[in-house]
Amino acid sequence: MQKFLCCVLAMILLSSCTKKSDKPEIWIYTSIYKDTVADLQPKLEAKFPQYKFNFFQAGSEEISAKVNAEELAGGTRADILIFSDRFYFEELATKGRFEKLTSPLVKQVPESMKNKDGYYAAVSLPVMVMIYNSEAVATPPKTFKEMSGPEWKNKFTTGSPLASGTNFTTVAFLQKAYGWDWFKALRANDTISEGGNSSVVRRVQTKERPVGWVLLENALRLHEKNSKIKVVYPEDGVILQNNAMAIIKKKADRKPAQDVADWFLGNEGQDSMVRARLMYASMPGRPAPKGAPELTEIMKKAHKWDQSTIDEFMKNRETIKEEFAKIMLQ
Amino acid sequence: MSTVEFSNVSKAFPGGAGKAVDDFNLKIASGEFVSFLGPSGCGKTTSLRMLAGLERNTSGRILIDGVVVAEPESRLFVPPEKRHVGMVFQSYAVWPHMSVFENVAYPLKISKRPKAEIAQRVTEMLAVVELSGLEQRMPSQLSGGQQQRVALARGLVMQPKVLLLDEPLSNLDAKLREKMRVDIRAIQQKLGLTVVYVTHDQVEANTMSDRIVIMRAGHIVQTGTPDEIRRAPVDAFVADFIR
Amino acid sequence: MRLRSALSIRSLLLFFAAALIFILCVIPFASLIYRVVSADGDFSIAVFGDVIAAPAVRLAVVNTLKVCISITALSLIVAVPLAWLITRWDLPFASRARSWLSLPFAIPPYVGAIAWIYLANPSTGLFNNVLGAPIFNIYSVTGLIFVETSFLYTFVFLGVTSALDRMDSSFEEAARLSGASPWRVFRDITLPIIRPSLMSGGLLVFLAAVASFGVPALIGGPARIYLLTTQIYNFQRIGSMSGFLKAAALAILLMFVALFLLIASQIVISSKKMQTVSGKTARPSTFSLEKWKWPAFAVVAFFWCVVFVAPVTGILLSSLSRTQGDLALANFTLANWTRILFETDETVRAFRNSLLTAAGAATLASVVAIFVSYISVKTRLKGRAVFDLFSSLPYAIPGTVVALALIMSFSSSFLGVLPSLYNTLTLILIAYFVKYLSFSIKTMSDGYRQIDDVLAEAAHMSGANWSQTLVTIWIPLLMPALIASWFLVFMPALSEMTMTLLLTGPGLETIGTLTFQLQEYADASGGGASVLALIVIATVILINVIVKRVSRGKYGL
Repeated sequence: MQKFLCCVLAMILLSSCTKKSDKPEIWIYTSIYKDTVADLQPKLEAKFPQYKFNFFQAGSEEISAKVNAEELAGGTRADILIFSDRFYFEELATKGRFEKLTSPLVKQVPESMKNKDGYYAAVSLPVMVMIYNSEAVATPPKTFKEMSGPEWKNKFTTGSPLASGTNFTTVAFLQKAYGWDWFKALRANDTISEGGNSSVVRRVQTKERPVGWVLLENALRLHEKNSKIKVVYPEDGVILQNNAMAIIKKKADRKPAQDVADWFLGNEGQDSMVRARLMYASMPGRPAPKGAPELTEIMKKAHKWDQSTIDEFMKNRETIKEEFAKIMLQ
Repeated sequence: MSTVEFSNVSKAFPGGAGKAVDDFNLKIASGEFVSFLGPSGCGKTTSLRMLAGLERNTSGRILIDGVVVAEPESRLFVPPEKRHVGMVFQSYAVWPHMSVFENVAYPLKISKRPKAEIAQRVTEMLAVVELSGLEQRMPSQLSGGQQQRVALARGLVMQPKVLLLDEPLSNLDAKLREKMRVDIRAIQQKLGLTVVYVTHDQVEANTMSDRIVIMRAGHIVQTGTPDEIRRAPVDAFVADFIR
Repeated sequence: MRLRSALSIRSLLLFFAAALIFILCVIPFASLIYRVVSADGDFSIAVFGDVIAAPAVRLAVVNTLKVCISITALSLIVAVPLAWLITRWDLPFASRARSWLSLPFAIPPYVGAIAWIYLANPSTGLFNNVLGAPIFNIYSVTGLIFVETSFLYTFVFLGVTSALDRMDSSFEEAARLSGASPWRVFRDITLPIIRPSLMSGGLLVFLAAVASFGVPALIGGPARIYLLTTQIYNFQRIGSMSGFLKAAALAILLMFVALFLLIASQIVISSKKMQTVSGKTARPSTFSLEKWKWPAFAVVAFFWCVVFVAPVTGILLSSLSRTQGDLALANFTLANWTRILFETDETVRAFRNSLLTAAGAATLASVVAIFVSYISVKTRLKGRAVFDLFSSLPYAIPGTVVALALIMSFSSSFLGVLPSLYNTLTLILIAYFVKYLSFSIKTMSDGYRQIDDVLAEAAHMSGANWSQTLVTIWIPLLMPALIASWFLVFMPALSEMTMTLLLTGPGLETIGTLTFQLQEYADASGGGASVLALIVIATVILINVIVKRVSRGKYGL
């Protein structure tokens, strides 16, 4: 018995002794996909051999929860955050938790895709579009707006703004554009609004609801040849998301983190971000996602990010969710 | 009261090597006190449990009061609840969630006797086993000997055709055991019960029984009154065991 | 001399187990509470008020009560007769049926939920397609209760079968000889004697239902039924610090409710002192089903098909489908399998990590439970009930909050003494241990409760010291409970997702994080996740078969 216990104890102690390297560590918390991380990590390591790079890779919501917990316990371990909940970045920026980005490249990021004081900037732009199952839908929809019509009863699904940040952004912009009555009509159509983007894809694939709004990357990532899932770029404007990047303020030297941030906005970093062509690059001159119009084209109709919109959404964050829950979820 | 008959009864447990009881033949007269005596594993408890209906014999037949209660050849099996026999277990099996009264009254409650009758019979029975006044006690408040008496009263209260006792005294201390031997025999005599008593203790068998059945490895080795067996043991095993 | 050394080993081990519980199950949650009330710099409990005042929360409370009480009741109604049938009647293949009926617990709940959506969603569910009419609607309160029960009944089932196994069968035999019919024996004798197991099994189901997240989110969501865990999740997913604090506050309230329930149940259980195992293990006599033998078997088999075969078939179909929900022959492919097994480099690492952490947590929890349950059942130490209570609390709150509490306590060096466990597999193991420890303790306490002290006393009388008695008497007698406890922790830990997602780090992939990756990014359709789920189920079955082989059929589920 005692021997056994000793074994267990020894096991615990052994496994807790992780290999420690002497190099300074840089922790990057990110929601960018594993493939992308796998692609850019060796490049980062080659460029900055003096640092050790650690990635915590998870969904945006997991990252913000983890950062919040670490912050409450005395400060997050992350040095660089890259994920797609712009409002979270805005909140931490206001709280003074970020270091200003010093990279000269920040200037080239479109005005609407970065913090006005330079605390964060987008490294890439995921885009919210609509998809439909071509086996179940003969005439595809053209706009978000028409989904409230009676012909789409029992046909439409969305993610929930309560479960996912990109869906929150989408709801926020659409209620600004069409008002809550539009959502009431969606509810009357028995639209299912649950979970994140992957749940939407699943429901469209199984034809449970053959049309949905979803991030373009989720549709493009499906491992399918001759996919039955087709993409629609709504004529009433796609919703651009921001994969924002920021540096956490710490006592330690921030130069390494600044260098890495600069790399992400530079050629190599941007190439890595859009290599799979699932989203737009935030820096000009990169190819658009597979089969998508150019960014400049999209931007013409896309819902506009500006400071007043951000402030409005930030202020009404809870109300928007509550109103949505009241209409769609009860 | 009632007779018991085993006729060519055998029992093989599935997966067990050999037979636990092999070709067991025995007739027990009404009012007779018969002990099954033998070392552990000799098949005595299995034989008793077959008589109770808790085990099924794999061949042969068992009769209670001349009525067949178990005969696998003709797919006949009367379940224990319909055999009308009383049984006292080695572990007493006094139900921990019922009071002494409830324990003893249970068989009567099952047969839906009127309340007044139940009360009267339970009181009588508790008097017989000398537990008057302890009706409302819970089993956890009783000594081993008292629990044993509750079990006995419960086995007797429904006036069974046959009373089966499975090593009922083995968990009691020596002094109490001696008293219970006398008491059980006295009750049996008084009520004229047919009793089958399983034990590995030759003193118990000798002092209480009208007849002893000595068993070894599933077989009956010798049957007879205590005197007969003492005087003429059939072999060294019996002689050694009865000494 | 001997007595003194025995005494010291005993107190040392007991102290060690107790300290472990205190450090891992109490401190992180105490510090969570502390951090929440002092988040603004000074002490404030306003956040609790805000949370209670929210109408959505009140609705969630009502829903949670309604749904979870139904799940508990249904689990008892289903599991108790099944356990009785299998242990007390001459049901064909009874011992097989016992293993089979434990298996649904090995299905990762979120995958099981997706399988049920696939089978029984109102618009395109397979069953409805086959029947040509929307007969089943999984998106309903009934659907939610059904799916949850189909996993959770196993708690009651395992607890009650093992209680029935260990119960002295002469109690029931005495009743039969008193003339009681099988039903009366069950009602008058069996049921009252196994009541402690029923209650602790029911309580586990209730707490599990309250804390469960995957199924309520996937099935309750589209049905617009929101439970407390979904509400906590929604708060947390707001992303902001205030949302985070609300989530934590609601979880803390849930913890206190659980605490109250646990205390109440302890009072009830301990008021009935019963030890029902005699040293003699007689082969219990079974009731005879006679002509009902095969009909009864058919009912059990049908039930098993509903709770296990159907969802597993759903998962299997999905793992073989190119496009989900398409049953055309051309749609079938092995691509999902080859992708997961041969083209995803993390698969092997994820399996190794999951096996290591799940087995480690299961072993640690079972070992700790040997001591903690001993303290709470077999000693008269003051405050012995406290360990049982504290170990149960983490179980009653959603995994995300458990993980967040652990992050707060472990992100810097724990208590300033121990080496930092942050970003190690050990912390993931600890999370599983903390979350599922109460399975072990409940199972082991039940085990101890039914073993008569005289058996250990007899060993002491024969000169055995405490640790010898533990090894030679208690542990062998507790072996079935130990095995059950091990599996009860191992099974959910093997595919755990919510906690692991927050605690993972570089190189620390597990089956859960891999499933998440596949679902969120690679193939949202669930084909890849289904492959993983099938491997998880196969692993559990395999380990069970090995345990049975090695113990020659004596132990195992």
